[in-house]
Amino acid sequence: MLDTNKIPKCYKLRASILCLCILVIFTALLCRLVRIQIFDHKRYTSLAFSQQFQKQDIPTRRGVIFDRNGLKLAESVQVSSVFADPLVIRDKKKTAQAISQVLGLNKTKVEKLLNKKKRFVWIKRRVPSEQEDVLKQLNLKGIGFRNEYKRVYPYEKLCSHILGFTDIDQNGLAGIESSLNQVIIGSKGSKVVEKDGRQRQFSTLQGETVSAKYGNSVFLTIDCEIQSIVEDELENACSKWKPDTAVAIAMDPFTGEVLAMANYPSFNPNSVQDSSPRERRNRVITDSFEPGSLIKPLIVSGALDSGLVKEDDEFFCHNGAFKVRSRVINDTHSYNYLSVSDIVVHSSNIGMAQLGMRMGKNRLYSYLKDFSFGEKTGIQLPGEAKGIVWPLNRWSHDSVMSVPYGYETAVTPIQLVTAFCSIANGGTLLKPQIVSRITDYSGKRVKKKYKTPERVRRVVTPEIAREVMSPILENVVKEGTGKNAMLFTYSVAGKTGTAKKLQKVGNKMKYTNKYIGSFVGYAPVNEPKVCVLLSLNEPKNGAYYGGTVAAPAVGKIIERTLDYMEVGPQYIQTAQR
Amino acid sequence: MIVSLRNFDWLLFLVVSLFLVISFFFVWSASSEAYAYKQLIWIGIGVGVFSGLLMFDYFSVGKISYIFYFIILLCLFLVLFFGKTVYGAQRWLMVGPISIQPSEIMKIALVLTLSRCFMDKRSVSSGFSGIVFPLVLTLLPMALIIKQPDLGTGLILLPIFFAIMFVAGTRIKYIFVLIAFGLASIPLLWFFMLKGYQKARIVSFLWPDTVSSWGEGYHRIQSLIAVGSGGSFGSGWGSGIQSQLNFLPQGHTDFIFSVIAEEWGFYRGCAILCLYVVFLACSIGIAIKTRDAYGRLIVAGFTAMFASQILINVAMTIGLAPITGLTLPFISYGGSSLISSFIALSFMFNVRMRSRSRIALANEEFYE
Repeated sequence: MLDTNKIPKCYKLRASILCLCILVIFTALLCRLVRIQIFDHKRYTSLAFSQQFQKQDIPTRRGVIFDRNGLKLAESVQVSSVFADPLVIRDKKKTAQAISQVLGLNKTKVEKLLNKKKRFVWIKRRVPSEQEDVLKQLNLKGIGFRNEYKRVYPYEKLCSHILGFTDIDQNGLAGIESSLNQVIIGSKGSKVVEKDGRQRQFSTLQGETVSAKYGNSVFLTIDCEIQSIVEDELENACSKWKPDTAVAIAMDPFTGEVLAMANYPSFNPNSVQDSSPRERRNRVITDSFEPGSLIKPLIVSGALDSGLVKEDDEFFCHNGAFKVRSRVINDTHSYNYLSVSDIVVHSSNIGMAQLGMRMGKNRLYSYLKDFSFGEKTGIQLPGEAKGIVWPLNRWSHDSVMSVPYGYETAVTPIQLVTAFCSIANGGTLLKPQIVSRITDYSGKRVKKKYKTPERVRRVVTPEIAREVMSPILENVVKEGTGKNAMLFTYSVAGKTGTAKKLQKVGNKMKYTNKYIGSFVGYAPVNEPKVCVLLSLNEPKNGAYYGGTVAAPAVGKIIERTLDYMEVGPQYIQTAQR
Repeated sequence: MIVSLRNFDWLLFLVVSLFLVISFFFVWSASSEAYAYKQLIWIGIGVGVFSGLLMFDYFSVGKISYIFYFIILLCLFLVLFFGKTVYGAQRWLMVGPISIQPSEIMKIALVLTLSRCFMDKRSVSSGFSGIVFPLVLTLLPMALIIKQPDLGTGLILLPIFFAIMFVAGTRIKYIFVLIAFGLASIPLLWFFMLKGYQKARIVSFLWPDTVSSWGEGYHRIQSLIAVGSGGSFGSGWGSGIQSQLNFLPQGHTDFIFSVIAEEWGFYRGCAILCLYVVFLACSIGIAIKTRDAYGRLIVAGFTAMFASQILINVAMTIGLAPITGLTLPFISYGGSSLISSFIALSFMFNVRMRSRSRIALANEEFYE
């Protein structure tokens, strides 16, 4: 046996240095364990939970939009969307190749998506069911499907401006889809699922599931039949006169319900991406214009209502050219004396200017306000314009002459047709309606009530509306500027309008040689069923008078609509003639 | 030759047995019963190898250590060209039905060879030139292993080299010179040796906030979550969410300590760390008590190997070291690592049991 002294001293020292090193490192590890397992325990536990349990949305379904008779104008159908979990996919090139082939996508783009360091990327949303089936059969690793809803508009262009459209996530962006989005959208549900490290979902937690609430359905006041008549006739008029834009609207004068509302140009809400903003604009609501002669009957009814004039009071019409101060007001035809009713029938600007001077600006202003010009009608469509009625302090000396024949004031088509409805129904201004009722998805009526008709105010007395104004407007069609709207079967009352457009030339607003030709009419005169406005912006092909370009179309719309409504013809004798 | 069991280190034996029991249960928990029984078979083979090697005198093995070393070096070359690729790394060599991992055996060969080398008084006393040869012996396999790529096992050769050199009595001055050289060659390693994913792991360790927790940082984050959510007492055996739901990859091999920490919690996790301290203390004890230089150096080398493997593995699971493919000795699942650990253990026992009776002959026999 050898004694231990043979072991060199330095060796023992060195061994203990190594021991010390190991102990120091072990102590460091222990400290770290204390930190992680004891101090940060809660944080890591919640991290573990958050990756293990995931809250998932249960998609909700948007409500259906019906017309007044229950025809489906917009509904949501279930479709599949394809997503990928890039971290699970081993062979990205091959997968990308297969997916792009089936779905018809760009291969390099798909590969780029698959190379993202994420656990969820959309590959393609709303995949047709044939493609979905093929892809499901390929059984690719890391590719999944999720049910989503897609908005479908079965009648395509019909009512497109009223309905609007939604984005890919089912949020309404325009029209009723937007203004009633909160009603239609419903509420998403959610569930908590447990997932493993390979993102496989293996259970749903009980008691954590909130089921989705389907959106409510909306019944519009629109009648598809009338809507298609209106769109049809608008299309005909547009193909004849080639206007820049055009609008048409039909309203029930006694309820204020919009029966039809059409725009030219139009778009297909099933493929919004192919349309331009110009096509998607609902000009009935959003665009105001100077109404020109259309406003004359409204001013006159105000003058009559105030008792200032009688319908047979005569005004000297200066033989077609009326010089006031620095300006000259012209008529298309020259007249010397015209009664108040003939001023409307022949649409005399000079007569209106004199009537305006007699009424004074306060009365003019208050009647414009009575017809609710310059404020929104409150129809449930987004983006409504107010129009312009200048406050009195901004009226010039000439305003009392210009306003009565339709300038220095801007109105929207919906305001105008609402105002004419008040004449047609005997003097009551109603709030225009577009929604008739709201039900839940099973068809049960939801509490919220839509009261029709919704009165705003009385504008003129029933006697003046029925016994004075309606015959005057009937005469416009019988012997005045609106002859083209005359029908053999029904009595029509109406008014033409031809307004010069105010456009920006250089830095100044100037009246150009472009026109807006319009006609508004209602029938039958003694008990009006429908009031129609049609307005063509910048008609071409040589004509621009409202009586020429718009009146025939309104006549046809009224005739076809009353036929559809099964209103008995009135002029049997005339018809036989 | 009959070896007396009187010098058998019962404490060390007990500690290792505990490791093996823990291994069986946690391999089971982290993967499946089937793997646990496979591990049991490997333990059986390991014990066989262990007791078989005890029959041989470590001196006689030491004599052929150079030949052994060069055969394994050749195998490492072969692996580079004909190796089987698993998880993108060529580490396995197929010999018939058995696949062996030469890098694991290389650790043992290197310990034996370096000890042989440093036992020669000349390599210690002849100044700096004396350590050039051992250095080459270390760097050659290291480069080959890192090239496989297996950064962890490759780098493990360095502490072995330093420990043997240090214990052999090389002047501290030289050791510092070598460390300086090593630090200077880090850029070389970075640009010419490391693969993209290895760099990414190191980057994700140094700057954990810069990487995505689903990408390069995934292992690190998941392991931390596992350890952290274990808390003081753990979630209980077989009910750790991170490992049972497959959030933690390689839970039964490299990350088995995370599984233990999650399911057994802080106190029992610490107990296992303490067992490892006892294990290392026993081996250092053997080294200190051994009177012949060769035995001492062998034990020092193996102690260094075990120590660095344990420390790096545990550090890696708690986010203190980059993710390298190092196993936890005696607990991680895997035949190669288990067998090489048993071989190393067998040498330590061998030294402990034989050194006292053989001292007298030692020097003459070797320096004849």
